[in-house]
Amino acid sequence: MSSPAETFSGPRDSESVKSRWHSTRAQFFGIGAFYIAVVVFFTLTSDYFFSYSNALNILTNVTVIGIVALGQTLAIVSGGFDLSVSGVVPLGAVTFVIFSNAEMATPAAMLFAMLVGAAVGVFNGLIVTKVGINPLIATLGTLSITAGLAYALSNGVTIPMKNIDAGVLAERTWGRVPYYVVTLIGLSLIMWFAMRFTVIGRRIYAIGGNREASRLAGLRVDEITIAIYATCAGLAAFAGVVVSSQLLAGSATVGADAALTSIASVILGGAALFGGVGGVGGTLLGVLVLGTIANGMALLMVPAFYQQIATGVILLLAVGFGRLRAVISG
Amino acid sequence: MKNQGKQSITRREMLTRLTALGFTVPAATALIAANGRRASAADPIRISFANVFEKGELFVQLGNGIENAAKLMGYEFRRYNNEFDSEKTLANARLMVQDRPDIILEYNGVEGIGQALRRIFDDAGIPFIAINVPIPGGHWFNLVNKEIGTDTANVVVPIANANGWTGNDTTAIIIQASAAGVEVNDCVRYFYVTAAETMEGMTKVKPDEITATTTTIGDTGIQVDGAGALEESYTAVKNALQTLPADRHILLYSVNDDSTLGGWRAITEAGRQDNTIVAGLGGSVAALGELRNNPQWVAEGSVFATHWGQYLIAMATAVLNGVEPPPLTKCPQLILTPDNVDKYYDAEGKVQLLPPLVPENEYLRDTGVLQQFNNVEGLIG
Repeated sequence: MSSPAETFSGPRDSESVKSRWHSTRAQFFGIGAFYIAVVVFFTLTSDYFFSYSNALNILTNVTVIGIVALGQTLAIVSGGFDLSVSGVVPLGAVTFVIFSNAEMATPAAMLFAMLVGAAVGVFNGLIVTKVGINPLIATLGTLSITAGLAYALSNGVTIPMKNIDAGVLAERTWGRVPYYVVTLIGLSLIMWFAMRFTVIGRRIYAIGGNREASRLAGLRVDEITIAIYATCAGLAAFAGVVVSSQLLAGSATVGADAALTSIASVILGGAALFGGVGGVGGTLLGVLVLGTIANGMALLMVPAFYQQIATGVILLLAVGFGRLRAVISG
Repeated sequence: MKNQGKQSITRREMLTRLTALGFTVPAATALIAANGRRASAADPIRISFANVFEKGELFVQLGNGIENAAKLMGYEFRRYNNEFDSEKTLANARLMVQDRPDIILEYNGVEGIGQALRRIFDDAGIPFIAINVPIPGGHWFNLVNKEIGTDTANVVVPIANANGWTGNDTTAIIIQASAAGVEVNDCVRYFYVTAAETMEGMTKVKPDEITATTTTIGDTGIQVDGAGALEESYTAVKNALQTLPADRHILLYSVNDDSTLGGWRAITEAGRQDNTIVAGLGGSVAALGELRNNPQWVAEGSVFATHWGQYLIAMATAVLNGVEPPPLTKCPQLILTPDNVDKYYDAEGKVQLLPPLVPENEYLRDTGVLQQFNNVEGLIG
């Protein structure tokens, strides 16, 4: 399997990307095996783990981070990343509930909340491409702005949803699966298809693989980068809508760990921080690994302090194992 | 100089406005006895206040309440934000003593730096009042979480007992905020301990047996960590529910309203609300709405945080007046039920009446400050 980035890279870059691609595949399968081990471990140690209702519980727990991580995958594969999602998630949550409480139709309230997020993303993209500020600094700045805005808009209080029908995404469909889980699956399929089989997907990989070569090859690198950040922030705002639907309330305190957890998931799934490799499948696997470990430890009644420690250790071990496997397989 | 000019105009305008109200500055002056600091329109009492954080309903409203109370009394007021950060707190302390206020109100969220704060304030010779988290050598104003948890259990458990629930078919889920420390989590610890003492079949434990790392209490208690936040509490309770049979009754209680609302949402989502009795803590608008409209939400602890300002300003006045307060001045606190909620809160969730002073707080009456607000039961003129 070759990386789409090869099309736009020179021979040495091509070899380098190819090597990275194999490394990512090795990590993907390594993490897949690790995930199976995690499931087996918790099945053997907890009476409550291996059941349909708990599987559903895990899926509902990971949906918000899953949606954020989809956008983060785009940003990381293109060679950047987006810390502002930790501010955009609460901003999306609060604006959605404010719009909804102002008796705006639910689909319109969702759309406006996402547009607010997308606008933040466009701003991020402009700062990164036109002003030339490093994505770390740019999105750190907008993280602070958007988180502050969420607090300002909500006056720091939790805003209950007046019309609970606006929480339609949390309604259950076939098999008691909430609509937001179905939405995550749908979004993942669309993004997987787009990244793997479309021209824009190849261009995102190309930009992440070698930004300058992509520019010389005639790609509209800046416009694509802005679109990537807009999509990433739009998805983060939509994740805020999902949180609000789950909680039937909007709060500026939600999503605080969205940036770090989403980046961890994407990296755990085999993406490289320097861009050019990664994918939707790996990201979802990363999200599932972290969510399943958190769920399993909660069922085993592991105290919260130790859960944090264990999650960090497992993250390092899993990534380390994947890298080791890649090295051994050459 | 420009700033000073602008500041003095603002101050003059403020004083003019307050004087026009007819009572504030003269009242403030009269409230300080001859042996204390005497204020005048030209030289008002100066108070510096460092808020623990300027985010979240509780902290913002608390800060606003103190500021409004000080201004209403005609006191000069400066406000700082400690940002829940030890270095920032110490930096603010140094800034505050530079201002040479008459008294400092310090809401420090980091217990371990109390000695450092004390040194800064003592070196400057400025009296100080610690809010919530004690500072050695300072006066202390706080809620008593232990009493709130105990009193809440004493409302919740009789209702559960009347339903015929026992420890054989009931689990108490308590949602702690481990990072907030022992004092804050006393409310949930004592809630469980009291519930276990008054409900047949519950596993009895001593308070100190429930720690930050406790997750199960026999077969009748589960403690989860909701970090004092809506989303985290929702997820934590959702996971805990997986371990409880669907027909088991639940008593739900937490350290604050956001946590309780998150836990309650997980319970309703699981369709277990009819098997649950819930109590909140905080008196937020959303929780008061639940208390009024949700038959399962039977109690709501309120510490009237939006009105701590008037008590703190009364306390500051007493200290400047030479009074030695008790080791702990308790904030107003009360367990609201559907029967008494309308007496203390209006339909919009605004406080309309505060509970009467407890005996230890009678010294606040003598300052005359609380009477200015005309909202404390027993002190309404």
